[in-house]
Amino acid sequence: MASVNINEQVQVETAEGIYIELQPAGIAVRTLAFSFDLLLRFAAFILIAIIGAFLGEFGTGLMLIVIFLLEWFYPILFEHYTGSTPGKKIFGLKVVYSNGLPLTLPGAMTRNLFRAIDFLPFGYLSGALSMLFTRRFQRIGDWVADTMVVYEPHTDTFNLSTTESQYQPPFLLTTQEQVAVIHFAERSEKLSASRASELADILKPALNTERDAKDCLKALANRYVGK
Amino acid sequence: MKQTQFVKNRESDWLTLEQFIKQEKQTDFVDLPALLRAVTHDLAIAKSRSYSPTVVTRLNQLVMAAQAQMYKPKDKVFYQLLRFMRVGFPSSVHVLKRAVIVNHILFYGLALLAYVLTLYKPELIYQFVDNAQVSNLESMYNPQAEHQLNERESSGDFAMFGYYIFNNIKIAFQTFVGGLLLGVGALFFLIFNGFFFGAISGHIINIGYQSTFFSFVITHGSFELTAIVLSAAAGTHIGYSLLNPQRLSRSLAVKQASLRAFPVLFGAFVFLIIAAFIEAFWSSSQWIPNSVKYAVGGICWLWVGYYLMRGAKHAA
Repeated sequence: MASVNINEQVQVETAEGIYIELQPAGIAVRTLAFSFDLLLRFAAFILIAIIGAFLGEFGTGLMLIVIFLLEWFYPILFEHYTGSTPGKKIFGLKVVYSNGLPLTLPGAMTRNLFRAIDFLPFGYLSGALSMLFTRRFQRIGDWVADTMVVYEPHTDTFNLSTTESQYQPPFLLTTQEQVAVIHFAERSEKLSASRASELADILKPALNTERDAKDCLKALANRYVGK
Repeated sequence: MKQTQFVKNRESDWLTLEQFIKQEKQTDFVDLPALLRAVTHDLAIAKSRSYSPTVVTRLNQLVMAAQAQMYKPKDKVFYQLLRFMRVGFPSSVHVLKRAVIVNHILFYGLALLAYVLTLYKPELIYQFVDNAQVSNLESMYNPQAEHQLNERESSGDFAMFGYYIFNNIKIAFQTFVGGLLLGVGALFFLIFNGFFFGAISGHIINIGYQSTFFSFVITHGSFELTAIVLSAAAGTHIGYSLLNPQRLSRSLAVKQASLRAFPVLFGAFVFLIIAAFIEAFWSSSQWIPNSVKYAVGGICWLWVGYYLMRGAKHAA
């Protein structure tokens, strides 16, 4: 189903019969997100504990129940309603089914209650091992519930700068090479000017012109996209 | 067709869709399925014509977002939970029928064995349970003890409620996770708990504290003991699928068994919360006469039995 990619994107086929790409999140960023959630839960618990201290025995019961709820239902409810816990949201992650569809309640419950297994033998060791050895970085709960944690797609889009000049190359490029040229032109806005020139200058001998290589590539890109 | 021309032709649809997804509230009618199909088609074209990564990425995101919008889950948490407790839980117990029956027989069989042994040879209790625990239990259920004569305050009840939830869930998870070790771990906890429970019951009869003990355990026992046996059943079901995957690969067999066992575990979870509630607020209260406690406890046992049997009807 998935082709071998140099990046870790996973291709998922939708009901409409087309492949879309998802970027599964690795163990490092998920650990960070988890730690953030842990801090948040800890803060919530401290708050309740302070209130509970004034309530005597009732407060003790309240504290135990709050620990129980925070441990098991915090991730379930957040993931059901928003698709990600606050920690995941901060690091730009969300949980989806492995077919790319948004998470529903049964999935959220399954993947979170199976934390009891991921946690074994201590400190999420089996979950971490499972994440390292599966293609979609799934821990055991993810694997059972058929879910995965992916990066929220970032929405910055590049626009080609409109240069008036066109450039007629003395050679033919394959489609792949044309795409590379267009991608360079789109991304050059994000690169520093000197880095962009440095990259473009590699192609100077092939371009065979006196013009600045960077401008030349942009012009070439404009020609390919038909501006 | 050049890329720019393509974008120019199609962009109005993309913008409509992007706006619709962003504001989430429906201002005027948008034919989401048609738009989703159109954008999917555009993505296919853009990919096959090798348009620039910007266009492909944008369409990729748009398809994903539109798809998420289209198959958005319904916000009916309580309805789903209610439906699960009415139908889902009993019928998933029915699916694991064999494991449930075997685990019940093991638990109560061993409890009975330990019970009879302790009745027959009272000193055996010290073989099964250590001294400190025995004397602790004796003082707990002594009808003359001070805490048996005075009513506990309701704030104390609430504290115990929290404590019981914590403790019960821990035991249930222990038995469940134990089941994954090829079923051996769950059996260990089940046998251990069954034996413990049976031996204690026998010992309580021997020393004549049955009125405080049985009136205490009967009501919440219906939910608690059943939940522990059910979580052991869920665990052994998964463990057994690892031992005997039949025609599936081991990993697939375990995955499918986990999906079957999961609702049972969650139902047991709910049962344990109910049990903790009864244990804290009902079982320990002194003002309720024992006859009422036995009657209500008996009804609870019958109801739990009936409730789980209904799974067969739902499955049919």
